[in-house]
Amino acid sequence: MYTFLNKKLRYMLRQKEDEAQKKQPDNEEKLITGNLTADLELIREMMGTSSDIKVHEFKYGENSSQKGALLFIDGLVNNDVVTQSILKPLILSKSLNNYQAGEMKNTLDIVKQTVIYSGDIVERHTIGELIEGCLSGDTVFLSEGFDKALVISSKGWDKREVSEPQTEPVVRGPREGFTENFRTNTALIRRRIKSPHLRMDHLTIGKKTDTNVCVVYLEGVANPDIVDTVKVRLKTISTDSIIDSGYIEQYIEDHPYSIFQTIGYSEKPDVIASRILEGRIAVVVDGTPFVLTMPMLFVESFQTAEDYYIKPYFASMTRLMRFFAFFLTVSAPAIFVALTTYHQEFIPTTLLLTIAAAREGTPFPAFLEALIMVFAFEILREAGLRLPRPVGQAISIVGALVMGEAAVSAGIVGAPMVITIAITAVAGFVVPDQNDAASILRLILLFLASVLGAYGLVLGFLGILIHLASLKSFGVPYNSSLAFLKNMQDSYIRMPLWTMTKRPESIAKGDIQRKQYNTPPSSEIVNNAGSMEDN
Amino acid sequence: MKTQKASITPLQFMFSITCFLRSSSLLSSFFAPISKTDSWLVVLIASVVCLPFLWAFIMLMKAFPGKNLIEINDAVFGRIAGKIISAIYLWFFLTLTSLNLRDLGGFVGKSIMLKTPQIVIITVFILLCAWAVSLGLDIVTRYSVVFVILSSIILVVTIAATSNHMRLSNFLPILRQPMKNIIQSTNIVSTIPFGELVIFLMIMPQVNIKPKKLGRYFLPGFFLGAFLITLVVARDIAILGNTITIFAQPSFETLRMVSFFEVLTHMEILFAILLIILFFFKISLLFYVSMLAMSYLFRLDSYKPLILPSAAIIVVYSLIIFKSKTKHLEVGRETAPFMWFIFEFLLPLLTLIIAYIRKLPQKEKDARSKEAASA
Amino acid sequence: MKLSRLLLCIIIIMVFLCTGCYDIRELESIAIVTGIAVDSTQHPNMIKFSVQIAKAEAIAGKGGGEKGGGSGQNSPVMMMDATAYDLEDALHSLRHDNSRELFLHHNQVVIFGKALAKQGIGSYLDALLRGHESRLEVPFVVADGDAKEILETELELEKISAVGIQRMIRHKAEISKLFGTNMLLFAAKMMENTASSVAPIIKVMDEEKTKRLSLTGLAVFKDDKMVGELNEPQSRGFAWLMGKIKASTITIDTKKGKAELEIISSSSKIKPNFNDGQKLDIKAEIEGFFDITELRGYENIEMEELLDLLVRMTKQEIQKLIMSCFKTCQNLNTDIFSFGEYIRRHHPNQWEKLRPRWDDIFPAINLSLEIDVTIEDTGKISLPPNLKGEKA
Repeated sequence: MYTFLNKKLRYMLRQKEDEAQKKQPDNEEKLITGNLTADLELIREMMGTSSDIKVHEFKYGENSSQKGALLFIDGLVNNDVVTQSILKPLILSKSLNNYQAGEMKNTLDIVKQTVIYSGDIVERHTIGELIEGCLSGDTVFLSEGFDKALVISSKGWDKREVSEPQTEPVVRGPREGFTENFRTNTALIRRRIKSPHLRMDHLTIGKKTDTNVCVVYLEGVANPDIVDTVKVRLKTISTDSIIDSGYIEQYIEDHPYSIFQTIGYSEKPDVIASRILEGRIAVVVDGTPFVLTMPMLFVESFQTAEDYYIKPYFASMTRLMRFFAFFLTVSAPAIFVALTTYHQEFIPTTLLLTIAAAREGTPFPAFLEALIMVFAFEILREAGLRLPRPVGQAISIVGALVMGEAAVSAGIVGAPMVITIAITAVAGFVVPDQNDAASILRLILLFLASVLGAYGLVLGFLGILIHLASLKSFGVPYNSSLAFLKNMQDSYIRMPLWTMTKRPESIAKGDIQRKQYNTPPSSEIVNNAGSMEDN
Repeated sequence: MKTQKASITPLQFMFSITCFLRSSSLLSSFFAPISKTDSWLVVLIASVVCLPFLWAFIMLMKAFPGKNLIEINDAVFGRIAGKIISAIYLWFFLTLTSLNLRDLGGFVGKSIMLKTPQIVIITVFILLCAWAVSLGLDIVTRYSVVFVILSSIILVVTIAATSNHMRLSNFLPILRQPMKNIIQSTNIVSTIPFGELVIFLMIMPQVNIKPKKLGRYFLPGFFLGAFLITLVVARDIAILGNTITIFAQPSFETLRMVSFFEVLTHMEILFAILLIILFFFKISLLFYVSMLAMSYLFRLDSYKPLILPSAAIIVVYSLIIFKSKTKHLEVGRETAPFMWFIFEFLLPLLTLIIAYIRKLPQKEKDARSKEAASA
Repeated sequence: MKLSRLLLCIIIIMVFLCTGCYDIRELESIAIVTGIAVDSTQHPNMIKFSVQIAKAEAIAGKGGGEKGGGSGQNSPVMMMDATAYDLEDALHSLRHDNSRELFLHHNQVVIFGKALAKQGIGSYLDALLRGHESRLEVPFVVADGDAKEILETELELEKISAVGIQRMIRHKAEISKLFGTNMLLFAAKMMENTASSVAPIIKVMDEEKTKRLSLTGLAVFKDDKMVGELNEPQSRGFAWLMGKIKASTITIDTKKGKAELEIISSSSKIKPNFNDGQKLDIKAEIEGFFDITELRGYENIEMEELLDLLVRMTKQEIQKLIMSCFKTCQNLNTDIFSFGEYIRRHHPNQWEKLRPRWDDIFPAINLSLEIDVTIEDTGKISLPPNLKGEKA
């Protein structure tokens, strides 16, 4: 019943949408007439009277006999390019002088070939295409008497420099981060993988925003089925706006109802490059420094770029520590509540006495106390995040130190609880990728622990495990490398790089071999020429 | 049938067997009072005694690749007889599920949730299992390797931590119990955890494994599981000595003795948690097998609609099956081993013999090879 | 599909809400019991059951201090007792007579009064083993007198006396594991049928103004009744015979001087000799390793000679300790050495014959000792410093 209604409703909506689409395309399809004033009028009509749209009408050619117009959007174009490479040559060029007014039929070709200094000029015939070019930062050159126009690349808006990413700082490793600029980003990837097999397939998504999206993958390494799936899913996105890669993520992920992320992201080109080399597919979206990668494994949240740049021992240790930290941040308050309200027998005697002394006289039951503290922490975190940085710091000091201390000494909450929440909070930042999921899991486990004690806690964990096992990211089991299915050399611990001869089998397909042998580097390998001489 | 699609890897299959056996270590309270300090030997003896029957399982799996127990019954005994036998098996699977659920309820109720009523513990647990089962076999078996490794680590750590309480002389004298006790104990061990491996006949078609290599995964999994149980029982005997006979949960009491640096002393909660996890694995697997058997028996496309009603039946069944814990122990010691013997050993052997007489596997193979040729 | 899922979710949430927190037990609602003392009363069938409860606030220090003001009366523990027919009864009456729930998991020690121990403690032990809340590794001791008095004695170093007693026993057990016993070991011994158990005896020493607790010797049980005592040297003899003594010293006092030897390790091997099942001879091979920690006197003596003398004297000393202990036990007819169990384990065939008459055989056992003493190290110096001059 409900399902039926739902379907019906959707069908009706779809129909309306289709009708709306049918009505739209009148002006866009219109051809250029050749009558400069009429064309410009039409364009003005379509684009309105926005102040940043510049229409520059001028005369060029022999004796300035020819009428022309440049159309561009101020701010999106590089003014130097427009004046020096387009306008100046047009007006001053001598190559147009030899033609009579009557022989002007191929003027536009001559302009294109010999006058304008640009590597990217295309001819367009409809008004719609002109506007599109104009909106993406190109300059449109219209000329009296021609039913086509030139769209000259002149993109040059102000953009952020390539700088160290805020979210993923490293001690050792490249400090470059992606920027909001689409081309810069693809170039950063291309610079790291100088292989002819690196493919960048371009798409535009969003009816209103027309956002550039690029699917980047290594042909022969990435699984072609997954590549096709990604492309198909991207193409089926029907929305009018894509503002950030987060939009794309939510439109194409496998499990929209899950609290876990099944699509990875990174701000660092080196991370993205290494993922592409493992056979993953990256999606670069214009206007955001966050590049998506898919398929994603759960273990990816626990890997950082630096793991691979330092020696494997410490990397493995920190990897294990991150798992432990995730466990802590998810379960510390729940464990505390379960132990102090259900299973006091499992707390060492002296510790129990200390905790009991701290609880003495606090007004709330342990569960409520934990809940209050967890929420207080989330509020503080949010406040610290949203406020301007200097104020944010003040907030955290007031919140954490003053309020915490005051609450404890006033006997409203027990000090052990404050310590637990503090550990929870700090541990949460160790695995930033899953922090959102952790916040929710923490509450669920807290609830279970307060209702069923350790039993509820175990069931909660089993539930999480079941859920993780049921997740798939583009057909790849999400937790495959944690459940000892595949690719164990890079999961709980990181094996030395020379042992990783193969790309992850669950992801890559085709050219699976990274290198031939897994022999360690050896001190035996010396300069052969030198030793020959000795002999 | 749609539900057949999911496939599990050979490694998962192997560790599923180990994990399944390992999760039965609580049952030591059935046989420890009978064979006393020889219980660890009994486990070893039972694992040898079981080999011919395991061979029968493996032969059946090899003879009918791609068919589960219900289909094999149909093929070997014919439509009607096969259906009847399958129905009895379905009852057997459901009973096993209920019994294990009851064991879990009893354990949790005795160890960590003293005042919570059984029904709450059981209902919550079966809901979790139902969720896992509804997601499919590979979800149920996914973590078998992790669970085995986890339990092995805990086992090793507890052995190390309790080594100062251990007295090797507790094992002496060896095999001085009356022969009858040893045989009874062996029977219990071989039917209750070991013979239950018959359920793997149900999920065989979903294992991604060549019939030839079956033994290579089945047997190591079995021996690893048997070895782990032996270790657990031996550890408990070494620590508790002859008092092992008086405790309802020897392992739980053993872990009470663990202490690290005299601070972390109450480690039995680790055991409780581990056991709940292992029980989750076992009950989910049994539940899944019951559901699969049911869907085959009633020729349904999917077992999913059956899950919640069956869960309700199992909960009620496990609550009313025995009047009390003492009754449960009595049946576990005296009745069940003989009843189970029929399902776990006699029927499979019978199936194998009849199949051999009717030369069924041969026909099957021919048909398959013809199919392959025509394809 | 969606609706049914929603319903399912609601049902599951309801199930969890209906679980009802049966076991919930907030920390401030429990009274943490740290010690248990059981005494006999005037009435032959009744016992006095006392518990020591830790007052968390007073123990944590600052909380109690601030609130207490200056009233010196905030003792970290309080005592409660009840008189009843059995242990469970007593526990129940204590439970219902209290603002907080008694919480026995963290009990540190169980003390039985001497009088009660003589009546038999089996049924109380059963109750303690059977109950979910009691722990097997809890040490238990016999009070030389009133058990409650022991618990009430305040210790200088420990805030909670039960914790202190537990630590005392643990410390004592460093000399020999046999000096401490817990519920599990005691029960295991009781189940051996022929074996007898021992438990440390604790005593209040009145010293001028302060009271002090001291562990003096071992109580010997026959089945579940205390029948006798071993004093301190005898209990050492017990440990020597079992080969489980270390970290203790032995003093050799001769005419020439005095020596203090530290026991590094010891071992013993028991070899029974069955004389056609009529009489039992037991030969015990005992080995001890020592370090010299102190020498006094011993003038004009060569090193070899001195060592020889010490070895001889040590052997005598050990022999004396063991025999004194063994004779006492034979008189009590208590096989605390588990000789019977040893034979059952290692010579099961002979055991079948001996078993019915064990009570007659044990007092008649002829124990012969073969003691081997090795002095491993003389410390940083060899002979006492006052000899150095003469030698050089």
